[in-house]
Amino acid sequence: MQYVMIGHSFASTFAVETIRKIDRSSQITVIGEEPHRLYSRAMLHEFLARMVKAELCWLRRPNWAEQYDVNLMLGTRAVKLDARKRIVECDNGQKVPYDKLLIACGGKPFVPSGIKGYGQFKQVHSFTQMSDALDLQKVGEKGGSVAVLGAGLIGLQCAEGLRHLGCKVHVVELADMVLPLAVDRTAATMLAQTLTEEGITLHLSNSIAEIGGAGKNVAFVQLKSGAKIACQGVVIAVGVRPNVEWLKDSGLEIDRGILVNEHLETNVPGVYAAGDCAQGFEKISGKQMVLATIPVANKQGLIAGYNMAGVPKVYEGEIPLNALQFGAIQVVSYGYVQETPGHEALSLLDEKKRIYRKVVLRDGRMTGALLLRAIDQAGLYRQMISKGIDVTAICARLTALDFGVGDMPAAMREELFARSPAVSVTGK
Amino acid sequence: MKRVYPIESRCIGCRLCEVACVVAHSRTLDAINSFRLEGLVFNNERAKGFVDPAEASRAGRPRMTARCQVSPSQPYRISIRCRHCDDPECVLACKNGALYKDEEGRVLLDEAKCAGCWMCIMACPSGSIQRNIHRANVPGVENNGINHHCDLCADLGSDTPACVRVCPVAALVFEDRDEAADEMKSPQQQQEAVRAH
Repeated sequence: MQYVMIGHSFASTFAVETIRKIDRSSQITVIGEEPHRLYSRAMLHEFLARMVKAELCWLRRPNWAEQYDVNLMLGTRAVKLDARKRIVECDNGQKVPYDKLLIACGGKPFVPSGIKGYGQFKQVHSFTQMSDALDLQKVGEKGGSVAVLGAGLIGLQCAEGLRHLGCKVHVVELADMVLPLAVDRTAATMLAQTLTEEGITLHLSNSIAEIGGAGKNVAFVQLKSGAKIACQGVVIAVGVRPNVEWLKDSGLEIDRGILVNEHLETNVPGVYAAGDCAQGFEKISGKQMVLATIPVANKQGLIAGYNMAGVPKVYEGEIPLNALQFGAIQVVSYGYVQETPGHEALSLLDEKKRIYRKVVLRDGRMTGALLLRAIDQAGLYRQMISKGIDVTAICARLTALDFGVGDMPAAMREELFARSPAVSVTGK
Repeated sequence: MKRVYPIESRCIGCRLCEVACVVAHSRTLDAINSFRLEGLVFNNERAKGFVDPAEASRAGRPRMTARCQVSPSQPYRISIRCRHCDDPECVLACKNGALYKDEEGRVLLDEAKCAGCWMCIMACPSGSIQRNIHRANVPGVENNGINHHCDLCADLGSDTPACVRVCPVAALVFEDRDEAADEMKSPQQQQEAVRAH
């Protein structure tokens, strides 16, 4: 058996480790676009800011590939999938045959069209790869000014990293709030305040119209509002899309991401997909959705690994979920946190302490939760949302600061603590 | 595997389990000495729910949070701690591989690696992860801390975790409740079990 993984990050790592538990002899090849050792993409901003030791950024030990007997093909990009011949073609001309293939090639930064001057200057970067962080370090260490387009998760983390390096940072966002997709307006206001206190300048309801400079070097950006900001670097962080364009003619069913079934298998037998490029089941909406977050990538990688190795396991789907941190504000979010018609919101707000706890309900069941700073025992909300538990009886306590296991319905308390932990994946 | 199971109907919410946990993980292993010599203060505020890390650290003595937790203010008292899941959601959420499952089935933390991102708190289905605000590997974030969860008193020199030993009403038991345990083992472990039989 020949296993091939496209991608060298979270999902493929868990898939490899799972396959090796079951199959110790088959060959496993990992094709990774970046030349670097296995690292955590979620540590990029801390890496950029030189805030942490390098060991914190590596995802596994240096001998990981030997330990799991993996044939690593780094600095290699898969450019074509021939599903009929079961061959992956790479940019260096190499053709890699497979019996079971996992596509975990992640996302690709999206660059909006219509920015004048884009592509003409050296110091214009995205922020999704190690090379971006290394390049930005060079810009940032000179301590100049940097403009970041996009106040989403990646843009703001990059902005904080650059600020930590000593740069002046301008964040430009099209929406009238920060993190428009991740949090609600109340939380966004508090986060914007924190970012401003850190010395980051926010330009909301705005956009970059033009990047200008001298020769190959950036000197300024011109905003849609007309303002001109002097800067020595630009980061484009408006979003990440599944990296699926290279699969256009492969015969794989692709919507936004690669469509997968409950075994994480695509419409082509033997080809699986996981992580930011896959579009799997989302529990609250009941739809297939790209959920680009670490726990989803890892779980999909784990389950795809079992299925690839011939041990059938079912991926039950996940809910949108994330944990973020800006300044001293920790944010945990689940599901859909904006109020929409038909939904009821309960919340607790302490603006002085910047504590905010909000749950969104529909027909007595939670469809979203958002917690700022008071995030302890947050996972209970995840459990209640995922399982669609009726929370009518405990509504009054849901946003309390000391909400916890002792508030949960008896059946859940028993399931959580009186029984051996439920084995959803590795069991039977 | 053997795990700590709370028996809700017996719990009186005395929180001795939390005290015993802090002491068992102290250097002097003694309630009075850990207070007098190490300056450890048992974090009593935890019972109120959210402890503001900044306020807690301003309070002088390091307030240690136990790895287990009872919240007397909740309608039901129950002493909770990491369940060392077979499919640990925290390990699947950990953003840099600091959390891992060891060969004996314990979910453990590489303390030097934890970045305090709280993906684990976000992920843990039983709300069993605490924060140790006295350690940090990422500077720049005040009192952020690192993951702090039950290690089953691993390597602390006793077969039974400290919380179980101290409970005055036997509301904590350390036992194996895995059903069909063999089925949960990896194929390799199963073969080894057959051979050993």
